[in-house]
Amino acid sequence: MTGKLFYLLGEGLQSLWRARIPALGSMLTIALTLIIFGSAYLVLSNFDRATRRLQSQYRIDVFYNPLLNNQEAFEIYKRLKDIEGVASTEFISKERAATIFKQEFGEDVVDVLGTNPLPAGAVVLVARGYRTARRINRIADEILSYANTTDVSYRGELVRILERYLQFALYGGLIIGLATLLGAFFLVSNTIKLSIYAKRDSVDTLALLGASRQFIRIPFLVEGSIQGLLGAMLALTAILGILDVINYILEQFVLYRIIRPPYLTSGMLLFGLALGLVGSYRSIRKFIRPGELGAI
Amino acid sequence: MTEVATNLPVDEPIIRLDDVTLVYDRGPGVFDINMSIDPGDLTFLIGPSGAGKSTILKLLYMALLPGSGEVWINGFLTHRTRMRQVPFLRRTLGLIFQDFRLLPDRNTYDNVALPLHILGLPRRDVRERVYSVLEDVGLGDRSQHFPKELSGGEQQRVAIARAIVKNPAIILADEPTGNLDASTAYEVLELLTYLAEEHGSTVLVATHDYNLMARKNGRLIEIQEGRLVG
Repeated sequence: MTGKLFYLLGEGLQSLWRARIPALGSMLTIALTLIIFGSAYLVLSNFDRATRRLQSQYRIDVFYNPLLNNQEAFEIYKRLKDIEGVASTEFISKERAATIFKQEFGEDVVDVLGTNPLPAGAVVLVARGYRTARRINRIADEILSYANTTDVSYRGELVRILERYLQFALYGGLIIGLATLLGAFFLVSNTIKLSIYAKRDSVDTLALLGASRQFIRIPFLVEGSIQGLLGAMLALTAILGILDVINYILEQFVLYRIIRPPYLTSGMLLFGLALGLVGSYRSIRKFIRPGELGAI
Repeated sequence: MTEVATNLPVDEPIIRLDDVTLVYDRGPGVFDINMSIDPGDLTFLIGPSGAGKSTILKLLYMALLPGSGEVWINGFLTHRTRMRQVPFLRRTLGLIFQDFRLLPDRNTYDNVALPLHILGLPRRDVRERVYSVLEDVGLGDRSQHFPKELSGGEQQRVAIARAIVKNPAIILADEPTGNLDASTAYEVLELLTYLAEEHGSTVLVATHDYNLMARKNGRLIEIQEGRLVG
């Protein structure tokens, strides 16, 4: 049994070598498809990472009416914890606000003005599941609806823009990916079809010698799988090479590296394998029907 | 060599056709065929082109099924044999064709080894058997040659080696000498019948060549216009 399997694997490899020109065509198509898919995955996961990074730093600064004293402001502040989506809150007293002002601007506001005009306030951190532009907006609106809350400040617009681009890239990538996937699928299918067609006499002879359907089919499946795997390797080499070049260029200017997302290598290899297998299986089912075996 | 792969008691006919009729959509086929062949027999099915010889052979290796009647071959009965069982029947047969049907992209060794790989024999056994049978057919020095590098007679010898290498219970030869000149044809037929005898196989040769058949001792079944006439 093992001997037969090795024989069939060898047959698949030999068959691929004999039809190396059309096989190269479908390998390149698979590679192109996977380059598009892999690049889309790379861009999306880096975009997603950047958005999450911004979202994780996300906080809402709350400012109360400057006429309120600390005690009055604190009474309003206590209600912040009840808002859905709020992870934690910190009260900023008028004195703390002055200290922060001094840290940031180097001036003691009390010394300059003789009094502290700064309002009490709060810092609100948004819970993990609520870090989207829409949800943060809702929380900010609710905070602002409380009496004597004069202003809220957050970077909602940036997150919203990033999310919009992320979604755009996601749908765009999906459409382009599906189109190329379909193309690659048909091309692999066609290459195997041509390969079977060219060998129809041999297939018939094999059937006459008593070969089972599996014996006839397995070499074609091996051929398709190898085409898929080689295409995936080609695509991986291209993507990782391009990634290295981009990172090298980025390093010269900014402190940012494009990361290689998890599962990129295994995902692309599996995807290539699946593409080759499904493409060849489809042709085999169409061309090698049990009823036609040896019916010459 | 191993025993012949037969599924039958020795005293039963190994091939039997009972009232077999097959009419092609495009025209005549074979009609009311009744015949039986005993194990180890050498039989010639003779008749002019288009008489139905190939049809009978196709019925025997189940590339065609009868419209009516039953074909019984080496324990397989047409109407009880499912499509997925047909390869098992064919593994007990050695088929030889007029156009040799060698795989053009394999050398002599690989062509002859094919039936043994189908049977799943270990590589070492395959090598032993293939080289042995290539010696038997006089092609020991041609094992690495591809079909296009061989003459017609040599190609038919490869086909005979491929048919005989698995010690088949039955050898069905469809016009095995049709593409060969007279002297090569006779050599090939000699070789085929000698090897079949040595291997204990039943041989059925379909041919239109009365002269060739007249030079061999064997049973004769004549067919004309789809009917057995003698």
